[in-house]
Amino acid sequence: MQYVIRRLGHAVVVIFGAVSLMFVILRLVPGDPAIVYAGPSATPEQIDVVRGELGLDQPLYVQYVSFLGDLVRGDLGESLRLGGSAVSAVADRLPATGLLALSAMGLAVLLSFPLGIAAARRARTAVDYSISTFSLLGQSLPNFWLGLVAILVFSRALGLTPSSGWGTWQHLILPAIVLSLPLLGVLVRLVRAGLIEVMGEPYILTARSKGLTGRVILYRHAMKNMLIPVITVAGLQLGQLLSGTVIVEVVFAWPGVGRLLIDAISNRDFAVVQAVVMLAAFTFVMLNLIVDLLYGYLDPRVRLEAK
Amino acid sequence: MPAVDGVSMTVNRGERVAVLGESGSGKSATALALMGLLPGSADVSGSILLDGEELVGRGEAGMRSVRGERLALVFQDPLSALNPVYTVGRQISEMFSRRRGLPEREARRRAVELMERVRIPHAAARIDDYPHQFSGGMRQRVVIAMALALSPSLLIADEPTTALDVTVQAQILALLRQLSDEEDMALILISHDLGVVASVAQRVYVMYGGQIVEHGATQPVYDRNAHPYTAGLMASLPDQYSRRERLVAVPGSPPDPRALPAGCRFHPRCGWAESLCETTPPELLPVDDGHRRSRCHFSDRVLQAGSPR
Repeated sequence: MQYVIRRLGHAVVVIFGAVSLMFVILRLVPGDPAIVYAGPSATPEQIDVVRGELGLDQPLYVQYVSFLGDLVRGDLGESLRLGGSAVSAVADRLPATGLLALSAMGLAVLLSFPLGIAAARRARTAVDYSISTFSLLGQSLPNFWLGLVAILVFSRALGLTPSSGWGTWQHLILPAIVLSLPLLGVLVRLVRAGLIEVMGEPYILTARSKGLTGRVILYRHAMKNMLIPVITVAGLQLGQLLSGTVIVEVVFAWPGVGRLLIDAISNRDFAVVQAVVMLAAFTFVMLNLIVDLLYGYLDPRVRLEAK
Repeated sequence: MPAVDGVSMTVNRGERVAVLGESGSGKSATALALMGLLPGSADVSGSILLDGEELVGRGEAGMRSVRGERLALVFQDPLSALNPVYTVGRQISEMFSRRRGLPEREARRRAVELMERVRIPHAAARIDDYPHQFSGGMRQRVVIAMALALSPSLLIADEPTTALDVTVQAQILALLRQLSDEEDMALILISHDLGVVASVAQRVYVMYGGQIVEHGATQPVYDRNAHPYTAGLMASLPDQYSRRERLVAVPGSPPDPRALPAGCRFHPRCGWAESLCETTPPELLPVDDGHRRSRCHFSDRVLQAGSPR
């Protein structure tokens, strides 16, 4: 428990760092939100007025301090483009992204274990080679390319699924599959390699010498040990999934946080960008915390050290 | 490539027998072959009879029912032989729950009993500990408890004390001796350690290059060697067996199973070797009073000499 509290403390520091970094980067890149906000026909005087209203004429450190002050009060600012608070803009889009990300994650986890186990049990056979090739492709082909090809093949040519937008479960199929493929590829390879390694351990020989069946040996004695390295690397890969959401949402016109972020960046909608970054940092830190807790649950040797 | 060749052993109920030899002499391969645990690429031929029942060619399912139930194995390194992510209690009790189908609570109760039998202090409290929380000697007791669970008729202990401290070694050996007496359980002890073998085994098989080179009751074999290799092993002991200043090693190294010497496999390292030894492999033949066997052309001379050359 103490460990969890300490980790939550770390989380606050990480999120603070991410948001601060984003604050600086946003103000260093070219592009003035006042120009965008005032509109294309605005005179320089009007733009100056808008800049003053937004507080953008203040020195950077003054802006930063007032930003932090608002942040502590839970106010992430107003969206210049959408009106209303940046937080509610993100909250509106969150369910769509959550649905997409969780579907992709679930798909990757559900498929990777049977595939990885099959490849490991038939190592260096045709089964193994086809599964390994497939997972290597899934891992290395870029999301945006896969997305476009999937739309061309399954929506345009075969007409099986809608090409973009959302609303029905059919809309979810392509983006979820495309988003899951890189994670799936990594997980399959991890499960395969992990299982092959664990099955060579002396305690597996012990389990066999006890007369246990192959199934008990695989699912009891090997599985939990195999999960330790898989979970470790999978935790790092989840960050990849988060950034993948942005690309996939844009390709499939999925109305989620990722597309909101892209729109906000192109419109210099600082408050929304900052809110999304905060959410992403928070999600990433939480996922890593879950992975670490899981790790301690799986490996009693780690659990003891943490105490 | 044969790792083991023409090994023939007999163990009677309740008897303790040792297999003595250097690393690479085929001791562990023999143990795994007995359990049917050699990798699928290995080819086991011949005959393994357990209470008159043939084990070779039974297949995986047939061997599985024998493992643990009638044949059990204790490994060299108890830390790597135990699964790090499960408590010792679960690893012992699964012999009852998985193999015998006993309910969890009953299996657990039996696991505590077993831990007490192998003299693990505070067994009831320690049953939920993980292997890494035990000392080396206690871990080996856990492994022994697992092996004993289903009261096998034969226990194979492959270098059971090699990974342990010397003080703990003696305790584990005493435990094995005692358990084999109490249970009328036969024991095959595999070791490279002359002292360990002497303290446990009633009979000894000396292995070299995948073959048995000498066999007999432990004390006579130790007192008067009938094979130059055994003689060399005895000469390498630093204790009361020989009072020399320098330790004597058997010259050379064990043969590579892929390139075994012609004739007698020991002849390149043997002080007794003559031209016959380079061409003709010796048979394992009775020597002395006929209760012993040696695989040497000149076993009579070796016996007479009583000490190595």
